[in-house]
Amino acid sequence: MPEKPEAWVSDYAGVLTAEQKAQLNALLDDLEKRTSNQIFIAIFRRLPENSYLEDFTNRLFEKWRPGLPDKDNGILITIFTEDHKARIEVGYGLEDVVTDAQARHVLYQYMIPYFKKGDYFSGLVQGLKVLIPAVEGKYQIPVKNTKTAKKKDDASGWLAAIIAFIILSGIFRRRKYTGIGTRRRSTWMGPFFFGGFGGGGSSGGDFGGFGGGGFGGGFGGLSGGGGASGSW
Amino acid sequence: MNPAKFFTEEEKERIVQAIKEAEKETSGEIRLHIESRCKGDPLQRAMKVFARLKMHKTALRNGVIIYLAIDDRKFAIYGDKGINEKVPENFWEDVKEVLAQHFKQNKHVDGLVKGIHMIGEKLKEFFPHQADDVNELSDDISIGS
Repeated sequence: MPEKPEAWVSDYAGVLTAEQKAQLNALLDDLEKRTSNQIFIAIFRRLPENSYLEDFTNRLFEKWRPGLPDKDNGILITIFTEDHKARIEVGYGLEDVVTDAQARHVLYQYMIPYFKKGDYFSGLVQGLKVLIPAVEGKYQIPVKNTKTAKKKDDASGWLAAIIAFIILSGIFRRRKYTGIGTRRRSTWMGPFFFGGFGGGGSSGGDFGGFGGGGFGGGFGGLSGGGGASGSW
Repeated sequence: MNPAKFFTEEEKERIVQAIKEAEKETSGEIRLHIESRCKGDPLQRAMKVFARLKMHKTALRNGVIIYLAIDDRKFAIYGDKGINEKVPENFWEDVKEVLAQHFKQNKHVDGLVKGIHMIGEKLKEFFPHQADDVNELSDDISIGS
């Protein structure tokens, strides 16, 4: 399990170019400077032997602890390119602005269609395009599977927008964005699997391979519980 | 070691039976989770696993998780809000003591069966079985990596 990196984006699988990494890093840098929310991205080839997607991502999240220590306002996105798996792990602090249903929606609607084509950069860009405003409380991710024209978004058009954004705007000039979502001690969890990289299917389709049950929205937080721990 | 191999099939069966017994007369739910490592505080980890297993999704918030990290020899018990506010103050410590004592003597299964029974008793007391009760959470042991 790798140590917490300096950069937001860690590409252990080598699927992003240096420029793509730089662009993503700039976007996430800007987010952190403006709002203190942190999004980390870790791209691997495969899960380690005997590891499970949820558990591995969960433990990596705990090791890297995105977000401020007392706020847990961070997100970790993991991708396993050869296993065709990905997960969005949301910290307690952002659980009410990115619920498990919403995170699943982002993964399936915006990211996986590109991952299936091997286009990890576009998938990440599309996902962040929704996640970033959501974590700032500026945008509410719809959880209905709208199957709209979202996937027709032109990645390069968005890319031009990012570049323009970075070049033209200063870091501290974002009037539009309001404060960070309220803190809640809750965790979103849910498995994300997508089918194999068969030849490009229709962009509107669902992804096979996801057999999991439904996930409700965010829950009422883990407050109120109690327990004890020990060792032997 | 591989957490799936920590208990033999028979031992696992004993544990699952104990859980079924404990849940018989109550709407409450108990689950055991085993994994190999736990770097930090096992109670924090238990809470995370609790959430991941969606154990908070019980009608009366009376789910209880028993968490074991076998390589690091740490464990924890965590009960959801509904049961936690009903049990006496030291209850979780008491359960922990029972588990710790048995575990130290390498009697993991006995300890778990006893602990599960203790929890079951309290669940029965505060959340008696309703006629229309269903098993809200799986009785299977949850295995991590």
